[in-house]
Amino acid sequence: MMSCHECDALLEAVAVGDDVPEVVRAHVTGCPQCAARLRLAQRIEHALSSRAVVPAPPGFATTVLARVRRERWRTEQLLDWGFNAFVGIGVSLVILGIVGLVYASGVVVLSRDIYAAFDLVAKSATTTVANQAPTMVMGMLLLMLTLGIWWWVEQEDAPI
Amino acid sequence: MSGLSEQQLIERCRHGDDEAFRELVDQQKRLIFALIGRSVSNPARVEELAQEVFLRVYRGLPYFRGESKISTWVFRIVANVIAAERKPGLNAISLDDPQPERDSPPIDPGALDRAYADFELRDRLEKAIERLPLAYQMLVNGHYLEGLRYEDLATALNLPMGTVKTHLHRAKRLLRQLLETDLGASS
Repeated sequence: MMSCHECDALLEAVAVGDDVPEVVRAHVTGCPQCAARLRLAQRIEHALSSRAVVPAPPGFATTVLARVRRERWRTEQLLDWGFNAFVGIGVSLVILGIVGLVYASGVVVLSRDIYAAFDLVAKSATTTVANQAPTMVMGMLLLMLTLGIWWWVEQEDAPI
Repeated sequence: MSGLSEQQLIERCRHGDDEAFRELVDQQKRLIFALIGRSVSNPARVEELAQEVFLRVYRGLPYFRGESKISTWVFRIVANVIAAERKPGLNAISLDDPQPERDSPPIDPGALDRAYADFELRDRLEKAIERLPLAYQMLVNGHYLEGLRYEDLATALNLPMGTVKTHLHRAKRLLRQLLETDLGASS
């Protein structure tokens, strides 16, 4: 003899037409409470399977693409800013290196004449460049790294 | 482009092909709108959330390994978006909660006007679905949609196949019990 509690757990299976023991159907037939519950389960099943589907508005894909493009543009802007910052740092280091070289060679002290300064730099370059070489090399490396990143990003964005 | 396989479409999207992504949106929008439309009571939020889902899809494409169908992956994203959207104070039933009180006798709607009763049932059903635990809610909302099979639901919700059917029955039983209490209280 099946109890109402046991039967209750199987009413949803009965409502969708799953295989259930015959004793369940027999109980439902003889029990007005469980029969009413089964009717409710069947109405719920019907209501669930016929729920309205919200349609996508016309032009939805275009709206989404516009948002995606905006997001992509923002990312590219960020990359561009980063790239510019790297270039700026690289160029600044190179300029600092050159200025350091000029000061180290004494050009600024010796003459304000730019031609004379270049002449002196050329003469003393071989001996003084070595002192400033690490700074300049670092600057150049940063610049090359930046250019490398830029090239890589451009490759990633290239259409197939 | 419609002849592309799912994997080819994803590859093209990954390479920034906007037309491929448009096709992906067109393919998946019905499922996404149906799921969100059934899970969110505010119709104004449905399109916003659908857009959010597609933005997450776009961001996630580089990491999608293609081990499941894209609709399964999308279903999971929708579940996350809906979980984030759910009001913290919502009176949702916990899976550990005792079942609703059932002192009142079940209502036989046969005596009521059938059309009105159906309308009322649908209205109450929507409210009851909102009170279901999220996993149950997603099961109920996803199960009746074309194109989502038990396997997809199982993968998306990280449940064994057999458990999906059991949970679906439990979810519907919970709905019935909520409606019995609700209809009983209002009669």
